[in-house]
Parts: sequence; C-alpha cells; structure tokens
Amino acid sequence: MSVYGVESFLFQLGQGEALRKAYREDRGAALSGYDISEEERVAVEAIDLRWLIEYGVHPILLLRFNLTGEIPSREAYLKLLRGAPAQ
Amino acid sequence: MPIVGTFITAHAPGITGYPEAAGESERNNTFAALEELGRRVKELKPDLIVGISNDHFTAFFDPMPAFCIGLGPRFHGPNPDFERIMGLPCEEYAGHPDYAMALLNKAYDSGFDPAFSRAEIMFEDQFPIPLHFLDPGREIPIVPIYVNCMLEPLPSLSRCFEMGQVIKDVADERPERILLLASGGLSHWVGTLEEGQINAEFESKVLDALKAGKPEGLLGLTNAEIDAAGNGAHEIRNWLMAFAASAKGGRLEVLAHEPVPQWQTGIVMGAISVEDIS
Repeated sequence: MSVYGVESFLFQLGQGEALRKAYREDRGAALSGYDISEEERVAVEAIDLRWLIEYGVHPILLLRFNLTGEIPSREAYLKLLRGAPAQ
Repeated sequence: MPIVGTFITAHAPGITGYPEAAGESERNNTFAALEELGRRVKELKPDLIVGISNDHFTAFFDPMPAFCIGLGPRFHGPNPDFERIMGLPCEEYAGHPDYAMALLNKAYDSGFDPAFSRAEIMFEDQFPIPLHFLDPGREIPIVPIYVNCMLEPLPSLSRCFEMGQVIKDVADERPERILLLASGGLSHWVGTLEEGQINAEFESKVLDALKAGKPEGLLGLTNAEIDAAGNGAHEIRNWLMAFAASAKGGRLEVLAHEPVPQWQTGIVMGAISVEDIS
C-alpha cells in the first residue's frame, strides 16, 4: 500500500461538495471507492493527522481537512497534527 | 518587444484573508509594496501578463506536470475553499490562447515539452492575491505557466531557469507588452507543525543573490537545503524562471521583505530591473 489512495481521497475532497457530504454522512462508505489499506482507512476515518503525516501523506493535501471545514480551525488542525485532541 | 516588467510577489492567503493578524508595520509595508507594483502596472501598460506560479493540488494532482501552460480562453478563481480563507470572491480572468500557443510552440522548438491545458483552470491564491492589487479591474489577460513546486520529484532549479529563456524568446519576437509575474516564496511551511517559522538565513542567501543580479548562484541549492526553509520555499523555482526570462544582469529591487509568522510566510515583494546591464 502507499499514500496514493489517501492522497487521492484528499484531492477529491477539495474538488467539491459531493464527497464532503458523503464523508460527513458516512466516512467509511465515502472511502469505499479508494484503494487504501485497513490502517489507512482507520486513520482517515478518525482524522488521525499525526499518524497520517508520519505515514507520509503530503501536508498540503492533509490541510484539505481544514480547508473543507472538516477540521474547523487551523489551530485545531495543528493540535491534531501534534497528536493532541483538537478541542 | 522585450518584457516591460517583471514582478515577484508572495501569495500568502493571509495578505487579503487575515491582514490584521500581521503586525502594523509588516502589514503596511506589504500593502505599500503591492500598491507600488499596482502603480507601476498602470505606468507600464502591459497588454498581457505571463504568470509563473504553482498549483497546490486544486488543478493538478495526477498526472502532475513539471510545467504546464494554460491555453484556456478564461480562468476562474479563487476556488471556494480559498475564497473563504482569502476573503476574495471568485472572479473570471481572461486568458490569451494565441500567446499561450506561441509559448508552447517555442518551448517545443527549444527542447522543452511542457504539458498544456485547454481548460478554464481554477486558480487558488497564486494569481488572485497579487492580481487583486496589480490589476483590480481584471483588464489584462493572463497566460499562466504552472511549475510543479509541490510533489516530488520536482523539476530542477536549472531546468526552471532554462525554461525562462523560452519566455524571453517569445516576448522578444512578439509585439505585445508583457508583464511577468512570478508568485510564491519565500520561506514557509504549509500544513506542517513548523507553520509560522521563518528561515532568515535562507532568505538572506536567496535575496542577496537576487539583489546582486546573480540568480545562477542559487541553481546549486539542493532540495534538502530548500526544505530547510519549508515546503513552500520550493516556489523559488517560479522566481528563478522569471529571472531567466528578464534582461541579463537584472537585479531584484526589494520593495518589501517582511517575515510574517502570522501569515505563515516570509513575505517578499519586488521587481527585477529590466535594463540590460551586462
């Protein structure tokens, strides 16, 4: 497995509302079309940024979680990146 | 017609999106420089802007071209996510397919094979931020040249520099008055824990070389050395291409150099002297 599947998902998340809506409704189902491993799926579903960046996912693609509003603020994004709870 | 002006600008979303986050003097100096560049645009009366910058995974992801010339008749931007953080509405930008095709053909004749796009490419911050100040009425068409500064492997600094010669050759042959706009840089980290840091040593090294008119001295920088100034520092590729397209011996006139952690960027605004002093 590689980061490619995760990065493809994040790129698509930035392309419009359809995938965001699907992801908000059912994260697992939204990820079903992507070629990702079980550990990748768990990390994306949990928005485990620390795991994802250490795994090698491109940080500018990870930032999509913030740009699209899944993570409401840049501060919360950075907290999650450190492995701390966002709230 | 030789290129009538070459500008270098940062494109940090905070400039328009959260200006008040910066200190007063940093903010004022940044805006004064942008206003000065806007004043010069009126004076230079360009027919066309050739924009050199990079996408951040809005227009390009897979495949990822090293270089891509925008042939589209029009473009749009910023995209809705950037619209929100930049505080600027999405607008239409006129393209110039004929000039873009001349660039593409000259590149092919010169040993370069850039990708091309006939689509109405969606901009993010890379052109809308500087153009908000340089051409607020959206009166000047733009031909975008995209450089991959994001996803490894990146084109070498030397290759970017050499590609600049293509831009110069086309401008010299054509009648249009061309303004070159290279946006990006300087030190900045995007999406990482280092966000807000500035690498002052790297910034001095780059700016000293460019102010002395010696961009060639930077071509030996390794990707690791550039990484030490952040993943966004790779955008110096855009600047180097613009330098190579400008008159030989041109020097960077720095209108603003403001490291602004709150905008996550070492802000640089400047212009390259256009007189041939070699």
